[in-house]
Amino acid sequence: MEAAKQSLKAVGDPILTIERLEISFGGHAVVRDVDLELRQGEILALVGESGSGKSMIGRAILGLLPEGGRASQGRICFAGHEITAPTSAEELRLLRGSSIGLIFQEPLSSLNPTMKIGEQMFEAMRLHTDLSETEIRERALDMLRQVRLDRPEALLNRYPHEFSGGMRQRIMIASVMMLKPRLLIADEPTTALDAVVQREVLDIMEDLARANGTSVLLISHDLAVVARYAERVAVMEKGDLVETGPTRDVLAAPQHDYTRKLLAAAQLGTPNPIAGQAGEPLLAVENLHVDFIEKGFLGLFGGTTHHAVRGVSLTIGRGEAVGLVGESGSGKSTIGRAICNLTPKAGGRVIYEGTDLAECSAQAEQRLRRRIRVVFQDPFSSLNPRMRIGRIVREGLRHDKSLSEAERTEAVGEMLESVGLERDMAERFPHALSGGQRQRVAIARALIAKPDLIIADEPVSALDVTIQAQILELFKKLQGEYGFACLFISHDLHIVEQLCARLYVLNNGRIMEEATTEALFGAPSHPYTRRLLSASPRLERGEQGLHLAASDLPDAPDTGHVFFDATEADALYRLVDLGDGHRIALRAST
Amino acid sequence: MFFFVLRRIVMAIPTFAIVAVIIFTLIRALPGDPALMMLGGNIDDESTLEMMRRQLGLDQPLPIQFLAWLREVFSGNLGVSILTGQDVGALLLDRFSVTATVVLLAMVSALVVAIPAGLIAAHRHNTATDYAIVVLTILKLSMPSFWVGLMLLVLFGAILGWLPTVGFVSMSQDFGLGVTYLILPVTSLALSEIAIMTRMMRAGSLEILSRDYVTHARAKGLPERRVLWRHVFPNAFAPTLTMVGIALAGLLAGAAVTETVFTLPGLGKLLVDSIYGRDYPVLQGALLFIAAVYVLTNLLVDIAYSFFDPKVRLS
Repeated sequence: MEAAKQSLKAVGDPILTIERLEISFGGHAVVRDVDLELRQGEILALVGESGSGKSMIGRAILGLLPEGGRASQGRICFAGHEITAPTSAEELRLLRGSSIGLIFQEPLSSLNPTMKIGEQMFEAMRLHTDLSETEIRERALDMLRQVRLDRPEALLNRYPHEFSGGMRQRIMIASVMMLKPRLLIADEPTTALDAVVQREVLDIMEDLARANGTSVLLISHDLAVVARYAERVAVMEKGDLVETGPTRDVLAAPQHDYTRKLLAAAQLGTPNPIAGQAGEPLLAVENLHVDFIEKGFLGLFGGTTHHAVRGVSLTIGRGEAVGLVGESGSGKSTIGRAICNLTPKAGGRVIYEGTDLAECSAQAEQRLRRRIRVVFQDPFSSLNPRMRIGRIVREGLRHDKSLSEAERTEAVGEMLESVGLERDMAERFPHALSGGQRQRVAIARALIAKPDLIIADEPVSALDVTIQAQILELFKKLQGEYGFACLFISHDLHIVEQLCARLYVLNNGRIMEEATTEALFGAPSHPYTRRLLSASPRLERGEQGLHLAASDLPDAPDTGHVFFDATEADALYRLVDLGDGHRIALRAST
Repeated sequence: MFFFVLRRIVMAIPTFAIVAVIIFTLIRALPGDPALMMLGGNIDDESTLEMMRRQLGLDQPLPIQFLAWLREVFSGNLGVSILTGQDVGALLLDRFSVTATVVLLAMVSALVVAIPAGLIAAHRHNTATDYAIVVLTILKLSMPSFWVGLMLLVLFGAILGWLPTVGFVSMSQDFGLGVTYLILPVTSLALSEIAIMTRMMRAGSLEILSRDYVTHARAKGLPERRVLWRHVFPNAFAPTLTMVGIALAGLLAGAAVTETVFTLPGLGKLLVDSIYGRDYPVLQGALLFIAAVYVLTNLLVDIAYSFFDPKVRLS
């Protein structure tokens, strides 16, 4: 594969040339003096944080800058066409789709919700080719097979909302690659997807691009993700291109400070697991079941029951950080919500400090629940946009009647400082804050009442990599200061590795593996755990600087276990202890 | 789809039951004795009144009266008008056909103008075209619709003398003449709806134009016309359609002001006349009929909605 990359790299003249490009909105330049070249069949990664202007370059190549934006200086030249100075608007339009394809970040919003999948795939074909309807249909079906979707005939007549994010992104890739463009602009194509799906989608995209000789401009904020696919990397910081070079060289010997910072963030630092205190667990969940019921006709004739969580038991010790890991749809967030009573339970018990929350009085339950606080995934929707930061944080103290106004204000100020914000930010509204700052506010709101337990539901997955690293550091620091226990929910094993002492791996509502972090990373046993581990890319420090960690794990030792496979939900399920609290899900023999 | 419609029809039953109870009680609660009213209002003879009450069933307890009325309604008998002696059912249908003609014509022409106007204004956001469309709609919205109707009458009816000002001729009797009587009321109604719907359409389109799938449609190389028509319009139209539903139901139930200004024999005018004339059977029948129009229009709009939003189709 290395050899193949090398040979492809050398072929031909550049297909895309960007010279001294400046993009500005009004008088303000968001991209300055950028030079880039892309050769036929090459994959170039354009990396930078949100706001670095990387997406604007992608849009400018298509001549589709958002309203108010324009390429104010320099030129973009694609295969002999001057994109920044086209002879006619029609010239650009005919290039779009047929020669330059675009894949967007949000598979949820880049497909038209009111149009059938087939129609959305066909319309560009009709426009750019002379093929007959039957031929177009055949091409579309063939393409859907190539992106590994089953029963493509049935897909064509369905609507986008009937598919998961990963499937939609594959449909997207199929519809764009169907026209065999010479250049593909993939703008954060997998950022909204979890690790396993991300890997699948990028693999498919790479295969298709290589097979068709398509050049790819892969835009991403995550160096570790794109490093696997790109021959060359270009790093953007706040509108400037700070470094360009072959992927391996950039990883091994970054020249620019900002690149080093990005790389440092991608490594996530050394794991620092937080073990709890021995003794009675702070929180125990026993045999938890959560069902979602889809109502049937008239809400009368029953309905279909979807088992989101099936018999999960877990414990969290006092001051312990416990990780709950799984793909989207595995039920991990539902468990967090069920513990906080945000989702009704179908069965099972939640025991807090030895008290069953369902059995004690309503008042006692409320008092105990106050000791549990939640940090949500999306800091953009979890803060009320009409409340000032100070009031948002202060709300966490609402139940404590003993405090005076001055004490509350003081507590809010202190809390803001300890999450790394300025005191005077209390006067601002959420929209004036960046994603990372908002998540700090959300953490401050959870911590201000000094809870015993924080349930953190994907607290960093909506953030840029560099910000993720900062927030994780903050979590570790605050944990040291306040000593709260934490249930950390994530789809990324490498993130939970950072601070969790014990991990639960969840799939399809059931625990697949349960172990200390050390044991799990040292000897992952369950196939599902291994899949999760190999899916999320990681940079490792080797003798010659950083390189991409080998993604394929060594074969598991043959232990003779028959593992439980979550795709066969009806098989008998059994959690077996291997000793030292390491448990794995096996298929029980009847 | 079938179950969706069936469920909505089943859900309409309690609505009708409640409407029937309200109409029945309200009318019974009105001051005045219907029997006295029926006999002309100034009869002193107690035995004649008694006889009239018995004839009308008014001597029975209220629940019995209600059930008796319901039985009549179910068998399609809404009674006869006190004032004219006409069968109420036939009268309602006759009047409704006038209202429906005017309202449906107005609504269709409003949509034909408002949808492209809103789409174009959004597409040319912040240009002279957009400003012109916005200013015109605001201008129309700030004029009372009855005043616009009167001005139209003055201009085209009185000054220019092109169109008739008073009365109505059914298109089934004389098509050409019927059309001339319809032009002014339809225009007057349509103008108001155009103003509201252009604004709805423009706001909806502006939001959709910023969506990723629109950029994506452009990135496919689709011509602007197709982007607007296939990708923006179906998504932007849904909120406008809700408005259309509400407006349509309201107007069908009687565009009383317009009908009064243009002296059209429509449902709204009938309702106003029957209230003034204390024509209880007509009033009862009209109110029940209006409730039915509301329920039916909303059902139709919901079905239309499912064509624009595939997510609705499943539920």
